[in-house]
Amino acid sequence: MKVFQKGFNFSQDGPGNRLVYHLSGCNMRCPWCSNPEGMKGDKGVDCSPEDILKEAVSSKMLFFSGGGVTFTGGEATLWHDELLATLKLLKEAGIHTAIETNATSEKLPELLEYIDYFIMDFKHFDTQVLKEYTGVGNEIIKKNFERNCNQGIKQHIRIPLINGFNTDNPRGFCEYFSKFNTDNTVFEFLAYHEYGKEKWTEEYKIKDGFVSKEKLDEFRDIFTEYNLNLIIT
Amino acid sequence: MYGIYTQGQLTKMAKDLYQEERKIKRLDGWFIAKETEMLCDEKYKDCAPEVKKAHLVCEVLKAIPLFISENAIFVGAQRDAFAKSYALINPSFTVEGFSGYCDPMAIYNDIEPNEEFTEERIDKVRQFTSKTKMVEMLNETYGAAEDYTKEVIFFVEQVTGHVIPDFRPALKYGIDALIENAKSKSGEFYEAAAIALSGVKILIERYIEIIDEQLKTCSDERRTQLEFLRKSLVNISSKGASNLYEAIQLYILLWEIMCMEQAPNPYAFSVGNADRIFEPYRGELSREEAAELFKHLLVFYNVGDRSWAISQNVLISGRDTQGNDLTNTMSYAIMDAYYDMNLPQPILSVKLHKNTPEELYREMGRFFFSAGVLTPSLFNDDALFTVLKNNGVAEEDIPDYSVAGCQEPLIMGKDNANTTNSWLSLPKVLEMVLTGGVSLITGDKLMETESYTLENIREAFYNTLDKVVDKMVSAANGASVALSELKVPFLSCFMGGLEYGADMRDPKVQGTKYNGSGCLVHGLTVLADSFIAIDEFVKKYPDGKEMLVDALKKNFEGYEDLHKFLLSCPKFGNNIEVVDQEAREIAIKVSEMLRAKKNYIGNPFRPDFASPSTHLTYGYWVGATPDGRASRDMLGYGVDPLYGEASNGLGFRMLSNMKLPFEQFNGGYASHLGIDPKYFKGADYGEKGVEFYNNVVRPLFFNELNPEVSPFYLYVNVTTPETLRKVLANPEKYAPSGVYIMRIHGTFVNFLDLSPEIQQDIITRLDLNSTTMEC
Repeated sequence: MKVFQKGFNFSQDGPGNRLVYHLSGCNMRCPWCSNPEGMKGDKGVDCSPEDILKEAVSSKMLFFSGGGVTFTGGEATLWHDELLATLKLLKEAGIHTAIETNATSEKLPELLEYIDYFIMDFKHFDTQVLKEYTGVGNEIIKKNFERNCNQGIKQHIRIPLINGFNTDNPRGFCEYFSKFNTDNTVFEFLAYHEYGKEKWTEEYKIKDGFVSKEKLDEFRDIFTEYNLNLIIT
Repeated sequence: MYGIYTQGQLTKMAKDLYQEERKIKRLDGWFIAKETEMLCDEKYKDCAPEVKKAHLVCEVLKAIPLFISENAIFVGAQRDAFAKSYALINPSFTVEGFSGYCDPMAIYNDIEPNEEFTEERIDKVRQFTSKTKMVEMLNETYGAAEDYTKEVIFFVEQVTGHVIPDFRPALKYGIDALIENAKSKSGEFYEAAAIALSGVKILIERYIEIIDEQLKTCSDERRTQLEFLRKSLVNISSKGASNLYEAIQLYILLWEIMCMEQAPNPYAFSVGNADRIFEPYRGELSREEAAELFKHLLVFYNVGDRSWAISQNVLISGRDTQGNDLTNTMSYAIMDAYYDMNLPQPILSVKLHKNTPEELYREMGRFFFSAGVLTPSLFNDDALFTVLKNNGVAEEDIPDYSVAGCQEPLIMGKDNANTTNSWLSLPKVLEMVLTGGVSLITGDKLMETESYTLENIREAFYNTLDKVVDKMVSAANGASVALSELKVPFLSCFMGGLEYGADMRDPKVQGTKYNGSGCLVHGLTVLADSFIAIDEFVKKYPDGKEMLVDALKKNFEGYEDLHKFLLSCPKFGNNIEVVDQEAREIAIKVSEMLRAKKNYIGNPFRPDFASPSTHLTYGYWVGATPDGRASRDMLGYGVDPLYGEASNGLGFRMLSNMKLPFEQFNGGYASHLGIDPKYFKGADYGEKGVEFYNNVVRPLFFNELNPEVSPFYLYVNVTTPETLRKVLANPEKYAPSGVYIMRIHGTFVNFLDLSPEIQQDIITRLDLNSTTMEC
């Protein structure tokens, strides 16, 4: 698989200090993407599961505070077979694993068996809107979410809040989520930022994606009203 | 203290005193000292050298002009021992113009003649000095090594300053007790010691005369202050200190004489573990009162308009041999004093260990995260205790280790390590091997080397290095023996002289418990990257030796593809096993080679992987290197990756760093991280300080999974290049006080005082890509 960026992050994509691999290529085309260089899948260095295992083992000294390895993207699950093999190797070596995914892979359950910390994006409850903005609808995303709820699998749901895209109807999210057992689910809002803007080689189409503190509070209040577990970051 | 001074008054006086000091443009005291020595030379010509020097010290103390400012609460100054010559903070410093600060005559070019100090007067002393035995011996040493030193294959110097005197017995028992001790023993050194120690009385008498004069006309408020000062001076003129005020006062006077004895080169003396020295005298004084007093000691260390007395160290905290924490109230008082004063001198370091209280990290937060405020450098006691023990330091002496100069570890009062005696440029040696001894910079033939193939480059390198090191050792020892002509009886009293009966510089009788000579090793990571690049090159071009050498000669011009290829080879600092192990192996081999060499008195050299700005100046004399580094570019700093080569962030850089053989570096090493403050999210300085501990200090220093001896040194600058550029462009706005403290290798500097090239070096080496904490 191709890695277009790697490095350590503290407590951002899973617990503790983590070695994060950004795998190249994505099936979505989110116009706010902060890693657009990883979208097309043409950039990066080829790494085998063994390469990653070797690097992870040699990095153990820095997996402090419960850290480990996280795969993100692009979209990591596009490399399903290699990723599965890598996760198995890491688990055998006793290394904590995490993934951050857009959850559009039907084969996600195969990976989940080897993932200690699962993070998925949930960008919109309305499949039409999502498809319009990103090119992909939310049918499989919902299927993955629902199955995790039903099976009691721990999951960390990230909702990027982008003005003009998904901030008008907080209750739309809550009405959907609250249909399921979310005892093992936590929700996190990621307020829009422009850190990746200068990396876009094509036109950056988001004009004013920023959300106000009031809007963020509104989301938090309404999610709380629906008894949905929030983590504040 | 608050009976005599009101709360805050001491601080105000300290700040005013500092402002007075910054207005001093000329430093002529050192010249008066040298002239006095010349004038009195004849008078003491029949004395033994130590005794003569002791008399000369007393003569100088009688001759130097003294005054007491209205803002002074203590008497004493070290300014008369220093000249305005140190390169880094000299605005005229340029990388290409730097030729070392070893020429004992160069100092006479730094004094600008005026009506009082006429050209004729200066020249007389210059002529006198040039005929001294020390200068003659030194010239001979340099002459013999010139082919090696002119483009810095190696460099040597005579090491003045650079030790940590132990003034504790003087503070505790008083000067009279020390003099009695010296008088009770026979021999020339003891005779000299008694005379030199009496210099304290000379100074005190002279200061009391000034006080008595000032008492005639001063205000009532000042009278109380001066009478208190006078009483304290009378007490300490014979007895030990009975409170913190007296302890600091006596300390200042001892320091003043120690520096005067070595004028004009008393650089890089160190206070040592200041909190442990002064805490026994704090008594009932609160943290706040103690901090206010300490501020005056801090001001004392700043000399003239640019704080010319550089590289003076103060340390706090640390542990004992059992692992118990030694932080005390004075540790925090000293931190308070530092933070509030924010002066370019002296340099603060904090000794850490795995049981360091969280409170200390909380209190450090304000230093790291306030823009333009000094940051303490950090030592890892747990690791350094092991390193020192393995190198023969007795268990009971280890907690007394401290650092001097560019932060080399030494034992307070017992260790003369000639820390900056020799300087070695590994990449220049590689250049010699590759070119058959011909400089890529000048085309001059500098030395003979043996033939080699690229496949056996390592063998050829180490064989050549061994020969170079032999030459270097001979020159370095020559410089040490030359320096021994300049006796230091006063300092020797605080370095073990009263026990061993010898001057600490004596080349025949060891006057200190521990002794060694330092070698600063340059270009470790450039060499490691170069060896690996050569390996990769050979795989691609098995018969390409001539092509590679030609590419280096042409600084890659016409070899753009090859240059790209060389740059793409694995580089240290990215957790790539092959090159990290290469760096480790080089460090071990070079360290062992150096330790096997004997210094002027038969002790091992101490490897010190530090490069105080010399990564720039020595880099300037190294042609293009096989790792793709361009001709005349800087070398890597200390043990750090070459800037721009570690591009995967802090985690990988730390992992590479932790593979180095720190147990080998008993002479010390340097490592710096420029860190963007944005990664620290804590609500206040305290929380950020703890975060800094959790995410930087703990994984690096106290990593439970690290099977090796952990790193023991680090300094940081928490800022961004943009911030520094703004400060330079608009100092009135971003540094209204005129002071913006940065760390540069061992020392603090006022960023605004630096020469432009050093300013640029600081900005370049922040190298934030190598320390990102997000991905």
